[in-house]
Amino acid sequence: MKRFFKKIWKTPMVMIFIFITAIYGFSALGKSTEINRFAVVTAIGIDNMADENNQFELSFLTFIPIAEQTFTETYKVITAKGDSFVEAIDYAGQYLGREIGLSHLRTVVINEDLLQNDVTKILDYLTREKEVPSSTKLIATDSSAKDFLSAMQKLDMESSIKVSEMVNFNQRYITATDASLEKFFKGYFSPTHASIIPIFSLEKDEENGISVANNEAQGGEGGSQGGENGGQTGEGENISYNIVNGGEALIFKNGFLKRQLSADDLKNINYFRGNFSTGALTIKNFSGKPFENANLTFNIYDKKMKTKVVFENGIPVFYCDIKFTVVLNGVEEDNGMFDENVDLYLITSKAATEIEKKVKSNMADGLAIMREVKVDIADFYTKIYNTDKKSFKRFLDSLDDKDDYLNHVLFKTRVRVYSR
Amino acid sequence: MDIKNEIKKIKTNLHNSIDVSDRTLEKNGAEIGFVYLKSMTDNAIFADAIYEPISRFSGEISFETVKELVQVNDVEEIKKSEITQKVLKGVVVLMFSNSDKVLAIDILKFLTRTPSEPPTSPVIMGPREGFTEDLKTNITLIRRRFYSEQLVLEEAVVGSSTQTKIAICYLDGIADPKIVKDIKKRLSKIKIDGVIDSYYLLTLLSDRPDSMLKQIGCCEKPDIISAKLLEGRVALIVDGSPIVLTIPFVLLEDLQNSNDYYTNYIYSSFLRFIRLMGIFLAVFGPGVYIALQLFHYNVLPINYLITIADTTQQIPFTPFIEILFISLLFQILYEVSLRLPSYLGLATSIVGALILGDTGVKAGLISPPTVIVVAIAKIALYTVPEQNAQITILQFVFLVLGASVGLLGIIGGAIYVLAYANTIENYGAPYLAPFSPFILSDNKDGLLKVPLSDMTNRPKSFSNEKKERTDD
Amino acid sequence: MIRDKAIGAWQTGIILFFLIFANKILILPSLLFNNAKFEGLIAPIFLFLIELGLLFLFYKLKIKFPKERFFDVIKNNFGKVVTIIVFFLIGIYFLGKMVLLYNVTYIFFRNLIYKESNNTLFLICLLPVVNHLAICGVRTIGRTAQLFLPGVVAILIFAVVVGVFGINSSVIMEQSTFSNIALSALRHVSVFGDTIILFLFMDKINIKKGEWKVVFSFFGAGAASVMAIIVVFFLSYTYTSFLHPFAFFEILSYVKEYGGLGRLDIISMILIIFLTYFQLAIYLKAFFVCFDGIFPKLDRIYSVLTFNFIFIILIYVAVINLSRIIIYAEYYLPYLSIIAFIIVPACCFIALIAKWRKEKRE
Repeated sequence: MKRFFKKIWKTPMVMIFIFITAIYGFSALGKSTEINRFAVVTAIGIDNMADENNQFELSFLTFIPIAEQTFTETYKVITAKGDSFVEAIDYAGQYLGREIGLSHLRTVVINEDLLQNDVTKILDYLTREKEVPSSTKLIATDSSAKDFLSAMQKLDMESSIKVSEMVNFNQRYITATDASLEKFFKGYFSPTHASIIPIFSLEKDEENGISVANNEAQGGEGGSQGGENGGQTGEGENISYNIVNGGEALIFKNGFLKRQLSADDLKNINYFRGNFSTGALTIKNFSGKPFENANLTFNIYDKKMKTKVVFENGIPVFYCDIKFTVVLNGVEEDNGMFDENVDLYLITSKAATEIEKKVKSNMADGLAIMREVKVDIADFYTKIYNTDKKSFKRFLDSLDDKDDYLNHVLFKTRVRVYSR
Repeated sequence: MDIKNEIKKIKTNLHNSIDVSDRTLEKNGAEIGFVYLKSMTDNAIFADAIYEPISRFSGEISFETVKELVQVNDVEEIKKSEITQKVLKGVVVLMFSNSDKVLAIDILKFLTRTPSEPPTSPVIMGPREGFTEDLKTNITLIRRRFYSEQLVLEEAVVGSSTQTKIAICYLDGIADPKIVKDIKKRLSKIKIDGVIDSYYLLTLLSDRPDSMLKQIGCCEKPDIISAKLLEGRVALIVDGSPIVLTIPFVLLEDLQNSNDYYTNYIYSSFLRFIRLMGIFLAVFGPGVYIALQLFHYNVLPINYLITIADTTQQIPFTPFIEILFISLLFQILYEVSLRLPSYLGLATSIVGALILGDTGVKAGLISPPTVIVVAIAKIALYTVPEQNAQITILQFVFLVLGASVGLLGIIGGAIYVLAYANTIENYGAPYLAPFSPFILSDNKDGLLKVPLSDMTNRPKSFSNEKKERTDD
Repeated sequence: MIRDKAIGAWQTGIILFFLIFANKILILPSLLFNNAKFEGLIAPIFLFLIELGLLFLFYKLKIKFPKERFFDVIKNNFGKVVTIIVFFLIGIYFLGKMVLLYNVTYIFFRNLIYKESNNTLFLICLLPVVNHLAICGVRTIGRTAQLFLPGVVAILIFAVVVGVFGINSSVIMEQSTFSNIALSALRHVSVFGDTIILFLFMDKINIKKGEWKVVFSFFGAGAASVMAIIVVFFLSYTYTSFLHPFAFFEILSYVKEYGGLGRLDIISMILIIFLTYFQLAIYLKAFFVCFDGIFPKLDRIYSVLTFNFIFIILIYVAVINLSRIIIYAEYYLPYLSIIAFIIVPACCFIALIAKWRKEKRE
């Protein structure tokens, strides 16, 4: 036995293991789960304060564990005020008796009122905090962010639709840019200084359902669901809100709000983005074989874009050659239902010209918005810069207002349309 | 020779043990004395082939005539001083009043099992023989797989009291003579009173007897031993043990299973990956789980986090106590189910699985994720039953490390254990051989298995005489 | 018991591979961007070329002095006193690098995975294992590294491939001047220069003639991995790269919701933890070699005690703070790098020439 203990003594690793067990292992016996010491925050709402003592009112959507054997998400919205972001977070922690854990933060909601000033000042803490995932979504709302969080919670409880999924949808089909916190700052630090934040509006809950603007059919469905659940939510006196995804977005330059864009504006701008090709085109009152005074709806099946920048007399000319492959999938004729299969419809040159005209006018609209607010969302800057750095610099120097280059760059677009 | 006196002397030497039998036969004035152990000899042969021919013989009885008369093959003349030793080994000793010579007739017989499929390594398709406790039978089982003069069987005796016979078995021209010599040297140096089972030799022959790692291969099936002999290994068959040892040993051997060689090679490669995964889950599963729970909640995906958070709310214990409790509970159930007769095994599994597991969860004493993690780890342990002991210990070590210092400790521990294993070179074979150091040709039968037709070389992880398996 | 045995070409290559990329994937890319924007990419290429030169020098040296210890090579040319001074400096150099590496990883762990822990816990975890690896010797380190290599490579490839999915923006080059790039190369020179470890281990390395290409390929693979990580990191974070100090981790962190796999960053954490252990162990082994060179008669236990004593004091005295450690790395460590980039190569070069002359005379 003596020999055995001597051997152990001579094996330092065993001693160290015993040491670790003695010091840390025993304390681990009394250690509770880390989740019980941290409040897991999945969304933060930032509101403006009316009084002058405090700058921020932060609302947190935190996950509160309850004893259940099944998977139950229970969230709670808590609010804290503070002079700065960190202070408000500290107060929130104090309120919950737990440290605030931001590692699972998914959404940051800003009240639109706050956006009149420099947004980066507000978001500075979030982007510097290492724990906050860089893929956290950043969205704005037209009313109180606190109410928005409550609406989020409600939406999640009732239908397990998550706002982050809505944001993902928007970025796939409408805004065409990642709506994350990281992307906002990427835009801010990029030479164009342009960034986008999607905005969601809140409407008072009357029907109790998910409302999607411009879509009556789905709204109706939501209404019928609401009828079933109405008894549960209608009990309290609190007014509940519904989140409305209108596909709108706010554009920023240097951290300042420039303008709110509608979904259509965004789609128009998206024509300039090479890899982005969803949406439908409608031509009204089209006459030509075999249609007569019909409204035709085409789906964009594929889009290929080639861009080229040429300096002509020191002025950059942006050539844009777009090829569309479209599919006809809707015909509305006055004489009733159109009686042919449209799958095999080959676009006639007349229809093609109409579509081209439509696309060009859409693109012109999109460009006009960008020119008006002097924000280069489609990032023409990089393309022009990477083509000819010196000429572009000379061109920029020749301008009175360097930010206003979009108004001086010439755009030439060529659109071609093909059937699938 | 004074027969009566001699018999008395032998009996005194054997402390008048109850199984010592003696008999005398008088014929034509000459007297013959028989001494033997009832328990170790075949009584029927003694009666039919020894006693009867002598008693019927009408001529003059002498040493030479008796030697002719006896109808047994194993007959030899021994010295007087050897009598006691021979009797102990199941020999009938014949003494003659008219001669000083002593005749020994070997009719050793004791009860043994017949070769049956060992419970430790059953196969689905393949030989179902297993070794028994009898050395002779075991040698037969190997010998009949090699009808060539290459197979060498040498004898060694270990143990001052037990005098256990050990057969050193190897293929001449394939096994490295240096290893054989080394084994013989180490066997001769062993100072122990008795070797009851081959496991005794396991520690005595290892380079590092204190190490927790198993450094010598164990096997219960003659087909596996034959395959290992063909690879150039040396087998040690210990009398009285159905477990045959093979030297040198590398860890990979335990990942291989005899089933692998009797099925499709792709399937067996897949199975080996599963086994490796099993080891990983078994060793690290509980440790990583507890580390995530206590130190790194922020790396868990939110949905999983919610499940853990919800289910652990009701638990009265802290996570570490809970997981230790469940692990210990399982270990106790395991011990009980091993020791209990099989008809009670069902009862324990009902108690274990249903009452302790399900009701425990329902009563809010233990949380379902913990039960799942521990259960997976404990089941995964048996993907490699040969390493059961080591994995169980490591599982607890990593559990403690994970709970005390988190992920950093687990990875540090893993590096330490592997680095330690890398320092072991038993009989010149690096312990983690075909992987570190990486030996490409050995990896044909490593984690991936190639078809038998491509395995043309013997393993290079340890030294052997002939590298190629084919003769040309 | 000293079990220091020789290693072959593969293990040398793998050790070199780990050395080449281990300490460069965490904090370096972000600092490079800070100093020289996207052109910061060029700085490591430049430094890798120098390091390749060092490797080539090692190749030549190994051919001329196949069995000798590095200590003897220098001693035979410069005398004992100079050799001891050189070894002392190398020892200090590696100690400095260890302090840097430890601090960087500590800050990383502290920020991201261990929220409620302290230095003591980290030292208790790291030191025993690192000491054990270093005491067991080069062969054990090499073999264990070999065992982990497939995992490391898999994680690297995974990170780069997944990182590519995070790329969605184009960048503008030529934002910084050449002097900026040169300055950033100079500032981060202390992160490079690990190849001189091979010089220290030269008596433990046995490479057959045809196998040198293995070592060089591993060097190339290591450099390529570092470059790939820097490029992917720059392209996925572009203009905000400077906000994210832990490059390798952030690559996976950015796409952590990719494909519903949940959080992927744990994978990079595991790799970083693993590499920290290894890197420290190899540095420590180098320190031991220096110690043995200076005090050849002392037992191994003294070098272990000396190291642990100095290291623990350094760690507790040098308060852990990211900005301070970066200043330390950017302004003080480069001076120490003179040892790796000038003194050691110069010594070897002179030794080679002396040997060459001697051969010629004969």
